[in-house]
Amino acid sequence: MASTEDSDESLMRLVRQGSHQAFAILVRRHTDRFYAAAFRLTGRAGEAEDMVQEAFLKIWQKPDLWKDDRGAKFTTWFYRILVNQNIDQLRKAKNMTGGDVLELIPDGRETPEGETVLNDEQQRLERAIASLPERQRTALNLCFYEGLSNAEAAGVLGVKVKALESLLMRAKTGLKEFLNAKDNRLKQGERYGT
Amino acid sequence: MEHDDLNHILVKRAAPPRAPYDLAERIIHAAVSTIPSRMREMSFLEDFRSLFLIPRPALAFACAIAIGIIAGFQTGEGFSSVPDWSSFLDVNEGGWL
Repeated sequence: MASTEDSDESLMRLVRQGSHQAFAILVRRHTDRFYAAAFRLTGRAGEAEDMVQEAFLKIWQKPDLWKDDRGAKFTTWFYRILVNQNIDQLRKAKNMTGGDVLELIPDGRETPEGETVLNDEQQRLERAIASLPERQRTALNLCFYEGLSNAEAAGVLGVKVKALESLLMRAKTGLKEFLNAKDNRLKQGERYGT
Repeated sequence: MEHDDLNHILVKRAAPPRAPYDLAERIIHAAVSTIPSRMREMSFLEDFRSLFLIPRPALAFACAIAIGIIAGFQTGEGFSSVPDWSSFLDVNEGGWL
């Protein structure tokens, strides 16, 4: 019998046995967190929503993907699913357009209803982060905004810790260069989409 | 720009928007709608596979041998019995042998 006090890993064991109740507890517990992560990865509300839903349904339909014996935290494992989905999405988009993946990365200028208005500094930061290569941006998001340790983020990205540190270093260098350059600001009043 | 300045700017990044209030419930509902097909698929496969499954193969094999030996002794006269040629000779009444 699943309980809200159960750990994520215990709930996943129950999900593997077909417990929809355990699945529901996991979804309610983590949807906000993973939506935020997906939004930071994609920059688009609709895509973030689809990505989270797809990832959760994937683990519901194929719970055996969760390997308990590997000792990974559920959240770290789920981030890996999101990151892989994002990479797949970018590749598909690249194949469809035949263009550069980086051109397809949103720069936070989506303007649907109910958005948060960003100040000038935040707009510059969004553009700077959006200008980074996908892996550097993901490393930055995981370590800086999702609170993963370097080892966990390295596991999500499938690289060694040293390689992750290198990605972070290059990301910060890239950000500094972008922010120090001129003419990289969004127009006044432009909004950060929800 | 110094390293600390960049960290300071990164901290100021706008928080992502909250997830739509009903997203979790929609995901749960979507999962429920996949239960019947999932269960049907599993039960069909399980049923089909169970036709060929022996729960305890070693035990089943040992039982089959034991039953075979016992049945063999009961229907015949054991290994010491003399072969009964009478039925064979009856069949040979036509004289073809």
